[in-house]
Amino acid sequence: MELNLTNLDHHEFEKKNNIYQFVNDFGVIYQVYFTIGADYFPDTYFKNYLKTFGFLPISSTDFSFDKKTSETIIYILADFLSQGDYIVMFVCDEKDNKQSVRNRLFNTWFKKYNDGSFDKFDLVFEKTTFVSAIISKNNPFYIDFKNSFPNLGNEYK
Amino acid sequence: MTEQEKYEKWKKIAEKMLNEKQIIQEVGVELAQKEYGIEFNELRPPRIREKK
Repeated sequence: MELNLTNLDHHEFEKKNNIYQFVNDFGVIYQVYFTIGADYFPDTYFKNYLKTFGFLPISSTDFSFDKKTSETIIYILADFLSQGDYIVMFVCDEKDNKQSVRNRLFNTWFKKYNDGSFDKFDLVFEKTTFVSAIISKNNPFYIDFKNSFPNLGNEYK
Repeated sequence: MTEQEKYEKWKKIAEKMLNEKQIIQEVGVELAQKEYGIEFNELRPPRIREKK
């Protein structure tokens, strides 16, 4: 299912080798990338559809977002998801101890921009590591992938 | 797989993902690919934006 991307106000971006790159209104250059995630679940049917997602500013250490920067990143992610039965995983950067803030931001983005066709699964480890995955509800591997997650009702150590 | 095993598996996955992210941030995409063997997914060119 293809998301309606036309309402997103995004910067123009270009493909450079195997990353997307754009410049926001403040002159900050962002790179957006997807890496191969097959090794995380090597014995599954969905391993070749697993990708990790990330983005970073390469000309600044400022990770703050304006709306258009956010919508550019979301546009790229949504467009990628629309291209096939991909399952996109991501983890919140921890190097500045702002991972919980990032996690809240990503949750906000997902609630705002999801048209209902995707689910997001989240896990937190030791209250400090936030990992998530986005998958289409129509993905043929949806049940298998969902079953890879531990039952969130229990506590684990 | 038990729930505990699933938890531990995902914990290791999260650690690997963090490590990968750190490498990319520190050395950049090109070196991450060449020196650390991180594989980036092939991408299609951006769509041509429709004129409104």
